[in-house]
Amino acid sequence: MSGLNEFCARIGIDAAAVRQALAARAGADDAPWYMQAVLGIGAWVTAIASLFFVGVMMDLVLDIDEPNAVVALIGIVLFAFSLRLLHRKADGAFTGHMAVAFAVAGTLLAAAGIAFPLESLWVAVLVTLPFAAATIWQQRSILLQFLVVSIALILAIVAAWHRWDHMITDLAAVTMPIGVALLLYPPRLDVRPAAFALLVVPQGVELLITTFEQGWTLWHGWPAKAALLIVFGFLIALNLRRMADGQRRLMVLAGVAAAIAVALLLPTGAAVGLVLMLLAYTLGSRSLAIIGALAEIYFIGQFYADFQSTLLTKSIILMVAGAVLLLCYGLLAMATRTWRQA
Amino acid sequence: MVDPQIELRDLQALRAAGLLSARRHPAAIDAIRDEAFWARWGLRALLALGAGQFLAGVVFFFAYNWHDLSDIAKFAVVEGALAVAVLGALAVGLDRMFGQVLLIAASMLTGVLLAVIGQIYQTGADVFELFLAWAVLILPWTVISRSAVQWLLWLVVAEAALWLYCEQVPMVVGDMTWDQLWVLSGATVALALVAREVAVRADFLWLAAHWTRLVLLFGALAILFLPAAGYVLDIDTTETPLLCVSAFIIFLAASGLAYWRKLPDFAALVIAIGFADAFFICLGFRLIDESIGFSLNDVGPGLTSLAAMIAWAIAGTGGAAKAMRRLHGELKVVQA
Repeated sequence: MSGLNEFCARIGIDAAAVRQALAARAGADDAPWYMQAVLGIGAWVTAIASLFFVGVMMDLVLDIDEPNAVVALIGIVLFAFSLRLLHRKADGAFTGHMAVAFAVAGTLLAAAGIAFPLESLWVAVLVTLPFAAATIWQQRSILLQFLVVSIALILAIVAAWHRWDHMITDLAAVTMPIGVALLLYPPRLDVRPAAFALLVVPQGVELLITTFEQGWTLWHGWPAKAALLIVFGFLIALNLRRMADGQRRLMVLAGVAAAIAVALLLPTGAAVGLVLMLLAYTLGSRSLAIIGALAEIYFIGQFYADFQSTLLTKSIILMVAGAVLLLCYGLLAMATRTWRQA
Repeated sequence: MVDPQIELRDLQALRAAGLLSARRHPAAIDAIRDEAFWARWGLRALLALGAGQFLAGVVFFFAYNWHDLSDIAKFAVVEGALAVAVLGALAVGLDRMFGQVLLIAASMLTGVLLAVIGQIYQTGADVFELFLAWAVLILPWTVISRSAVQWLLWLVVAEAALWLYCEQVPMVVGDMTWDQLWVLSGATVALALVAREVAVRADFLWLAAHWTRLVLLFGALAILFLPAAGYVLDIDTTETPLLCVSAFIIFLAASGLAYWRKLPDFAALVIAIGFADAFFICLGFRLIDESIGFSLNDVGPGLTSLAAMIAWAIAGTGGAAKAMRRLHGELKVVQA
């Protein structure tokens, strides 16, 4: 948090224009992420009940056994009705919730109605894209944007599994660079919910499946680790720019070396957690910090059940990774003390 | 003229208005972000990750039960590490984060030592005895630690001991049911939350970190919610339904009231409201199932019950949204 005038002087923008922009935004949805999470879970429950309702209506009233064009049409109408409701009565708690839940149900119905007759999950993914675009364009509900983009991502992950006959892990490494770019260099439309979905949904899906089944990893996870290292390096470079002191730069470079070593040693899921934590540090985002920390804890727990190496090997990997991080901490703590004394 | 504050979430409004370019966005973040807080956070995160991974490695190593390593060598390694951790904590001091982490490491190594004793001597003791001994042995360190993480670790170990004891002793002879165990466990976590609040008021400020309240509240509500929801949804054959449901409702109401009136805290209220919404939806499901029935093969009852469920879910989550929005505004004013 900073003073508005001080901020404007530092960035070089007109303070009066900033005041006007902030006043115009007053009353916008500023609910914290944990409140959105509660509402999101409630929206899923309502959406599932709505899908059952349409299913029963199709089966018993319209005599339709499998999703088809009629179902897709119902979905599109439901989605359009929900968006209209959001535009007209965005402030209403009940109408807002109903609109979000029905829009989610509408997206799923449209995807099923078009993709099922063609027997293609990729078509379902393609169908959800215009819906995701519409939720980004409408700028009324950040929850709806997150949920519909999440649906598109989950369908894409399932389609990839189906295509290659395996539960492919490490897909977070594909979506993460896009999410990071959208949060660091955002467009004028608010795409933060979509960026969050790109960062956390593939990771969440992986977390869920690896609880039940060993996933399939491309080339022992090296391509994913390479992608994550590039993102990691970019974030470090961004943080280096804000530091002037030569000594500090050296210390951060030591940290980079340590982090690269850890990323190469640890399973990809834990490396994703590390990147999320560095992104949280860069953006000053407490929500990402919590998600990154939880991902770290979870994946170290999961590592215990990993059958690809013995407990002895895994213990050595963890001890070496931990020692490297502790060394890095020691260097940074010493450097911090030196600056304070100076 | 007063200089109003600008926050990170305000930056999107400046992007939308075209006042801030995408290229300048990271620089704008730097201008607003609390550098001192995040520098401190970064150091702590590195320490926690490093120590956590190293200790996890130690636990994995002894779980492997390497036969090539002699018994005496196993004891020497664990006890040596334990001594180093304790002496290190004393030398560094418990007021510093590094000292606290060393004490947490010593507490973890105590558990590892007990496990190694069990591996080597095959004592035949029940598992709860290991956890009970662990909780008792690290209690003195916990009392002097001045560390919320150490207290949380102790609580987890003590809860594990409670669960294992109840499973292996009173439940075997039929003196206790699963529902009673869930309620007992939830009640102990709730008690820990009450103790935390009392301690913070008595100036034990090292316990005042906000996350300690949220973790304990979420834990207590989740543990009490599961048997209550299990009964309401008719999933479990609950022997003491009244105890399960009333324990959940009483704690939910008490915590909601406390964090609304006494200790205003929006995040804590969101947790309470979230669980209330979930319970309300479970209740609706059961009521509709009992009165209309989710008969998906009949048009009338099928469509009516599902429509009623949709309306009920909208009422529940819409009501939760309304309450949260109101409280968000109300508590902003109170805390300003």
